[in-house]
Amino acid sequence: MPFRGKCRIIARVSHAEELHPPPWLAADRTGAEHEPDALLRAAREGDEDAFRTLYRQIHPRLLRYVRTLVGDDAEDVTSEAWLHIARDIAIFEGDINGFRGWTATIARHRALDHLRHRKRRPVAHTPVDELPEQTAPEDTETTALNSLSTEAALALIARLPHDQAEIIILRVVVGLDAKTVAKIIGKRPGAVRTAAHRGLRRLEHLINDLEPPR
Amino acid sequence: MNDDSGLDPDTAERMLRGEPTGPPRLARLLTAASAPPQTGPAEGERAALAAYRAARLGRRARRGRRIPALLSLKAILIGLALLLTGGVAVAATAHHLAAPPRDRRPHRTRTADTSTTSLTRDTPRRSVHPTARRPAPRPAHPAPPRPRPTPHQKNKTHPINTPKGKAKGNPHKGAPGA
Repeated sequence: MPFRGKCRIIARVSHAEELHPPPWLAADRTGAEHEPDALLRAAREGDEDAFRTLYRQIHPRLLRYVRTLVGDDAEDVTSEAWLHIARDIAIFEGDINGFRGWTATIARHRALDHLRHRKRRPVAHTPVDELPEQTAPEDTETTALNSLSTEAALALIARLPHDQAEIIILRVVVGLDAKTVAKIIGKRPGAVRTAAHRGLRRLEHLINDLEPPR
Repeated sequence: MNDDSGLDPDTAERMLRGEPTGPPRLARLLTAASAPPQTGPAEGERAALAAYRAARLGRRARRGRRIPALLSLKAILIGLALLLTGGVAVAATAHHLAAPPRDRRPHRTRTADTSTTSLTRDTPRRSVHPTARRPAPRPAHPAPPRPRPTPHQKNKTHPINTPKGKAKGNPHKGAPGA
């Protein structure tokens, strides 16, 4: 049971820093019965519908995170991570924040295993030159960045130094707090915050380079 | 260029938490990155659910299997305990049985110690036993001589000794005594 201890730590840490669930998790909720912690409890006890709901909430974001790590193999790697999660969810201990940290930890381990296996560096999957053009056709009056697609935004983040990109994805996309991210990537929370802020500033410069503000 | 000024650590931290603040274009980029998925159920969902189901069934099966496993473990432990205690018993009896030349002498000395007193008392009876009282005195005998050397053995000695012990023991002891 290698994860149990870690999960407890993550759960405690996330409690300490911010108790509110990330906005996207709240936004995904449709009814009172979807209270995240109750959902997690039900999934742990064998409720398949609860597990499916958790999967649909978490998977897309986990996939985006894994994509920043392994590029095009993200689907396979994330699927492998879910097999692990499905197997061990019954013995997971912690709240929903701890659970999301746990899933990210598993996904990261799978991704690193994958990279080690393939012996190659993480890659950005979308050519950066195409970024502004990846917009919906109906956006004639808005600027390219106003209607930036998720894919394009992720590709832009992937242009950051690797650690900054990973931290920003974990914080913004997966919705984890700095301490949980610190546990996952094995750095101190202070270092995580610094890297994230630096990454945001750099990201801003990237945007301005792509489309200079008028 | 102006956007740079808005990104102090506090604002950055709030942006990282998903709050809609900070430089608008950067905020839009982060919003786009964390936008809810437009696609339907992912391809891996079926596989994940199958794994979930399999894990649940596996746990149930394991739980079911655990009881017989525990039972068999118990059986093994009981078997071991029986073997060990049986072995001890065998060893104990073997020690007693296998060492008549060495061990019985001290026993005899012990019994002799006690029986020296008892012998003095027994001898008159034994002198009588072999000669006349063999068949008749059986019920009368166990009570007087036996309780003295080992009072707690009474229970054990009674059933064994009443038929054989006196019949055999008396002539043996009686012979040298007599």
